[in-house]
Amino acid sequence: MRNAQLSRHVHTLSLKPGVFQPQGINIHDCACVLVRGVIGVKHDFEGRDALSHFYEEGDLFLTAEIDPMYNKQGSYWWIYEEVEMILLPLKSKAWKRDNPQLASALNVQASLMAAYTYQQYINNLGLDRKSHSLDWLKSNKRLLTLVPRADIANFLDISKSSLKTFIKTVFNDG
Amino acid sequence: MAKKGDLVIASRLGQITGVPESTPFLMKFSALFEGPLHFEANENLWTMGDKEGYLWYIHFGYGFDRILLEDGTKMLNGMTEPGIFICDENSLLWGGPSKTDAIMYTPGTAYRLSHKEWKDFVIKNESMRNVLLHINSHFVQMRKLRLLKMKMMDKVEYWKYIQDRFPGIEKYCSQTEIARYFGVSKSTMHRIMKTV
Repeated sequence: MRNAQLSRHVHTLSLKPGVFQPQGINIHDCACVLVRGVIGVKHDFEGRDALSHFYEEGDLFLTAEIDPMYNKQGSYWWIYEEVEMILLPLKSKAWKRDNPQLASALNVQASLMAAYTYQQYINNLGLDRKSHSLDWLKSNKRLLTLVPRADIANFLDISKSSLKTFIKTVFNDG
Repeated sequence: MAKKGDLVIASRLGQITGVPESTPFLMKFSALFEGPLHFEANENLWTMGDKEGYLWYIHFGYGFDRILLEDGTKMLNGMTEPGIFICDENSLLWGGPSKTDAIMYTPGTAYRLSHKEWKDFVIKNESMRNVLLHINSHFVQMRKLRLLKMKMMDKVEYWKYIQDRFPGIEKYCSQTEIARYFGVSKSTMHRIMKTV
């Protein structure tokens, strides 16, 4: 397999905080890399918002989770900090024509990854809440300045009062 | 010795997708599977750490699969029932040994295809790839729903729903494994089970 030249096929996108609205770019079946900024993935569960995970600088992710064609859970991306991202349309004719083998392999891999991403967040919910929350807070102090406490509590699946206690513990430990 | 060439898989994919089971690429794909393989109750389809990974199709029988969490504990991951395809997703996606196991609690029959053969086929065969992408797009939504139920649904209601769907689950999985599936402690799970 030879090296692929991506520059002719990717789009770059910069967006301000708020709901992700690509405006003018078809985001159907794209692989994305976040260059900077923070995105939270939110869903609607029986009229209530749920936050499942975040994307930060360097993360590779897929638009499949918010694709209107399949999006039964009303999932959307919420931008917490201005983002710059690169999108590769996996099904574009030009991309497939220029890189037939890579395009096929990437499509399969992306399709598997879209589902497995959620398995990893399911697994995290199986971990002990306190130790998982403390570990996450220690590694993600920057997000505390960008993301409302209610969203973080929902993400960690703990109450706001537990979050307050855990934040105190993390900061007291340095 | 298990044979190859059975069309059970083509028939099931035909049901799922609406594509006629006699469609050449479905028959070709189906013919790659090895089976039928017969299992006794309490026999494993695969175990944690297995180096050879397979995509399994369950023709008959019921069971469960469990996943190894990063803290070393095991979580009930899902239920195995006739008509489903299951595998260790981590090794299918990235290679390496399996991080899950799957056990039957009734006698069963299954077919299997190695991860490598599966990937080779879907990468080379555009029609099969399109079927897979379509199925997986729906599967992503089911996964999301599972995560949201785990996070947001009333745990007692969720336990009733799981009990209805998989009668006798508590006989085959430990309370700790079930508690992890619900994202609660063992003592909370015990309370939930007592309330129903």
